[in-house]
Amino acid sequence: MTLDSKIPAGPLAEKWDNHRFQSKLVNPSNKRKYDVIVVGTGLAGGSASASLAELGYNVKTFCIQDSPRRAHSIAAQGGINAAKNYPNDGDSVWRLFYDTIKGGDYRAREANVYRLAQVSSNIIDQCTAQGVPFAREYGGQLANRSFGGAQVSRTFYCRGQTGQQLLLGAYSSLMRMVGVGKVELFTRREMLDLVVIDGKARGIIVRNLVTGTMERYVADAVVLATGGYSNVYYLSTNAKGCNVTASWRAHKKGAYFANPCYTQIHPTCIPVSGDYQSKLTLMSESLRNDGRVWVPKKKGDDRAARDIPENERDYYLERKYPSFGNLVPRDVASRNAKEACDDGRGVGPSKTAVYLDFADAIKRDGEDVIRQKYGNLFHMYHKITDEDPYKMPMRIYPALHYTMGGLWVDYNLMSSLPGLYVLGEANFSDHGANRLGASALMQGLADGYFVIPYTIGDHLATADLPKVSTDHEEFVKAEKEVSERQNKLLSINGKRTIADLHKELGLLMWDNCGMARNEASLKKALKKIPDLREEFWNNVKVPGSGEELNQALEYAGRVADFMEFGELLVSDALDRKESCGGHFREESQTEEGEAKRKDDDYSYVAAWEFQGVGKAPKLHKEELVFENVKLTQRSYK
Amino acid sequence: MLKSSLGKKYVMSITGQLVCAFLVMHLAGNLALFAGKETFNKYAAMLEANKVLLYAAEAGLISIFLLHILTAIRLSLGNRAARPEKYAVYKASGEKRMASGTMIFSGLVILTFLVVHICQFKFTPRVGDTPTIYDVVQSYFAQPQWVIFYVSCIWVLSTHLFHGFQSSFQSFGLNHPRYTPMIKAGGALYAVSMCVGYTAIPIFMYLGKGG
Amino acid sequence: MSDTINLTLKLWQQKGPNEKGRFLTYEAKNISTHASFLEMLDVVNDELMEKGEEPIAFDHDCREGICGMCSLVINGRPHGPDGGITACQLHMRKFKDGETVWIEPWRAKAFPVVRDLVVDRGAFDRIIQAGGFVNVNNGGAADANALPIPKRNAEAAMDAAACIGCGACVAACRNASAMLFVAAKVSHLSFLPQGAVEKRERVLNMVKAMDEEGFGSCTNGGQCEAECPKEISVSNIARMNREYLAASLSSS
Repeated sequence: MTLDSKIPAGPLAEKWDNHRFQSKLVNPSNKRKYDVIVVGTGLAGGSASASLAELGYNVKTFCIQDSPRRAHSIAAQGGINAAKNYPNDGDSVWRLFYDTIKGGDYRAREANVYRLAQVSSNIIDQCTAQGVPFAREYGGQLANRSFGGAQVSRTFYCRGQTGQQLLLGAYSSLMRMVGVGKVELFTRREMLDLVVIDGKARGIIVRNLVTGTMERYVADAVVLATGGYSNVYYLSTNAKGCNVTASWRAHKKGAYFANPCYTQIHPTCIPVSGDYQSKLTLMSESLRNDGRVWVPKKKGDDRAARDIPENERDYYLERKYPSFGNLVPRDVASRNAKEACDDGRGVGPSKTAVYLDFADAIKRDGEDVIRQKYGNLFHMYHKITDEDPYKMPMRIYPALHYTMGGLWVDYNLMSSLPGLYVLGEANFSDHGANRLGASALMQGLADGYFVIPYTIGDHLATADLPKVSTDHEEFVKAEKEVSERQNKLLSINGKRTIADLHKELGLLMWDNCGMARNEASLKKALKKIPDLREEFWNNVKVPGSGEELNQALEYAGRVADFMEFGELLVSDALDRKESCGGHFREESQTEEGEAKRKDDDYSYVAAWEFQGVGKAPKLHKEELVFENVKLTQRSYK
Repeated sequence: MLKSSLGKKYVMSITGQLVCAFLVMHLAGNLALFAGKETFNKYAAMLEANKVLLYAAEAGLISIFLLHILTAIRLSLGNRAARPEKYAVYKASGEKRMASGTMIFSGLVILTFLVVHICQFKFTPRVGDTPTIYDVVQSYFAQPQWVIFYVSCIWVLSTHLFHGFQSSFQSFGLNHPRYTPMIKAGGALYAVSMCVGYTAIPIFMYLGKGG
Repeated sequence: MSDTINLTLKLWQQKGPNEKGRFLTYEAKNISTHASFLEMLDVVNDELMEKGEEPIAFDHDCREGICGMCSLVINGRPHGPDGGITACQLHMRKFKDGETVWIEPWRAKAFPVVRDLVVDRGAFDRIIQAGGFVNVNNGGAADANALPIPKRNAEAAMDAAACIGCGACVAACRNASAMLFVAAKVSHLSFLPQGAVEKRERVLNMVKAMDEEGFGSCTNGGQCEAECPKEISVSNIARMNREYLAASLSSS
């Protein structure tokens, strides 16, 4: 099968309009004849469910949490970008498009990104109409702040809880549709398989997490909005429940997985404090505006930070990047922190942290100014670590934060499996190899509010969709497979806990396919993951039964999928022998140690086809064509 | 509206406020005790002169009290049912925990008190040693056990008022950064005044007799 | 400085909504004071599993105080002894060596226990479904700046909208009342002109839905505000009382 991205013809700015005009429509009275399944209720899934239901489709919406409002979009802090140009500082759809393409290190589709920039303004209008309390100026107009990777102020925000407010907006629209009966809501349900009939996605198998029963749901199209896969690294800033299961099961049923090696690592997280650590907490990048990053010059220096004299400190970012200093992009800052720690110069009890020091800023501006700017972040840091950052430097370390890769989708957001749509972080489409701050919320809502409502109609109107029932043999078969797998997990009764095995996988991924990757480390990981997977299937201990609420069983199923997925991620990283965005191959760097793209060889989307567990996946390339932007190499010297 | 949980709260606060007003009038009238037997008996006679007005006032008071009490009992039963399994340890904080958590109990104490009080001062026959209402009052308050009973009950009533007064404003939606502290202070002042005023009567009567 | 403590845990165990629950006593040894409360429970659960026993079920997800999933009453207080945070943000340094720690689920008729420390908060979703939204379809919204909103109102709306729907207000309330949750949503939307259009119907419908779920009624005790991890004010309850009265009196 060849990959058809279905990018419409014509000039960039007209593609989306033309495409909408040319798409087939489902007439209003016929919409009620179609059922759509939406899995996931974050920004993408919530907004898609609400929008499709408003159009008249019968929507069935699923989430693993007890309420749709708990999806992890809720944790996004900073804001949402939109090309409104309210501050009159020169922003435009074109500039947002350009910044996003460049920020993604030229590994995203022009047409998709342009559409994203186009609809960004509508998102702000829609959310405002829903009652999202965006920050305002005294005159009553919306306020903007600036964010990394852009020279204009285009980020809209609700204090430090933008994700929460946008999600509650989508959730309220969703619940309104539940109230009028257009959305049927299924909470505490986990999708465990996709049902494909006659080559089209027609349903899902879910486990009712309360009763443990397997349930079958049929529809005319299936929409996945199930988020990213950062938790394959065990420690990340993702919620504990975030997982790759829905995407992975769809992949195993034929949907291609694109660019899994594009992972984003955030430089300013609170470091690991012990073995019990269950997740990492992110602190806003804005801290680097005033904090200075350093480590001791001497290896294994055990003195307290304040006892290390100035001339024995290495302010490595300022030293290596005199013009950007501490404000280098996320990937550069992260990589350098890792290098310092690998060099034995890390600080703190675990020796895997670097200092972020505000002493100079406090001396220069006074404690009050710093408190005004970062009071809440300092407070959070103090709560978690019990150390006062006004008195001693913060300790920070990078952590997995977001994954740009995901299921391959065409311009319509349809995967390589007809009838299966993928939205939000779960797809690969808009961020290329690196995502800019405040763009994740924009993409999730763009997909759900403004893309899928238009594009799903074309499939429903043109595809041959005979009525099928949940007694269809494909449903029976899928449910049987899922049940057997579950029973197998419960019957192993080995010696190791699920978390223990997950941690081992995470560490393996982090050490060999983390911030910097090379051929040797990747090959090592490729060799070790299958062994670990076997260890998992032979020696994991999953207590309880399948006929009840069993959180250990849920977790085991997700880790089992990570054990398979991790291999694909590493394979993709091995294939891409260039550095781009969040993917840094040590073999491909400039003399100064900067990431070096190889546009001639790797200007493609790597879409992988599943060939069987433990078998090498098959690569399909979608060449990226740049007609509107000129590819340049980044430099932050 | 009155069927809803909020409606019941409105009933509680309106009837409560009316009782509060009654308490002020009742106290003002009874302060006549301090002016001596003649003044007080005159005041009592005046109240009892117009039978129609008297019965109307009594009927009004009874309905206000009944409404307040019955609604309170319904609310309280509903609140109990809302948490069938109790906590093993419960330490939720909250500024007015003491008074707000015991409203139903202080209310029941007040109800008992009310019955005793009415029996004593309304239905004690005014014959023999106690030919006038003043004598009735005097005879009860000459006995230390009744003085203690009255003082304790009034203290309970005051804690009830302490929470109830300001709570009734909140129930009607009056909460404002500027006025709420005033309402709270007003409520406290009101509760203390009622406490002082009403406890003064038995104590004064007792001391007056003893001295 | 000792970095580890030992605790006696009293953990609520309950197989299902209609089963009888009981406390499991568990001696937690060498708990790092730097661990979060939920990480401590992770360790306990891992130990239970290693011993071949079933772990204690508890809800959690984001572990950074925003998803509202965690729902533990710790030593009699929802989200534990520290103010203004959720249980996932609580750290073990807040406990003393040798202390007995009681861990219970949210207790309310409207929040039936699903298992152990996990409760069903679907009642909150049904209340929102009854009116916690602005009745506006996607598409066709006016420009976001077409309707100026005073900064003060936007801030007040945001104060109320900060609610994470965890249910600590219900758990804390002596009467298991959901007034703070409902009032926060009612306030958030009535502070904004977009939401003010339907404020009458909204408050009537949401209060009706709340009453049907079997929550207790408000006795203005203020426990909700004191235990709310987002410190949402009871002034929102007053606002809802006011709006409900006005809406009821003007209803046809």
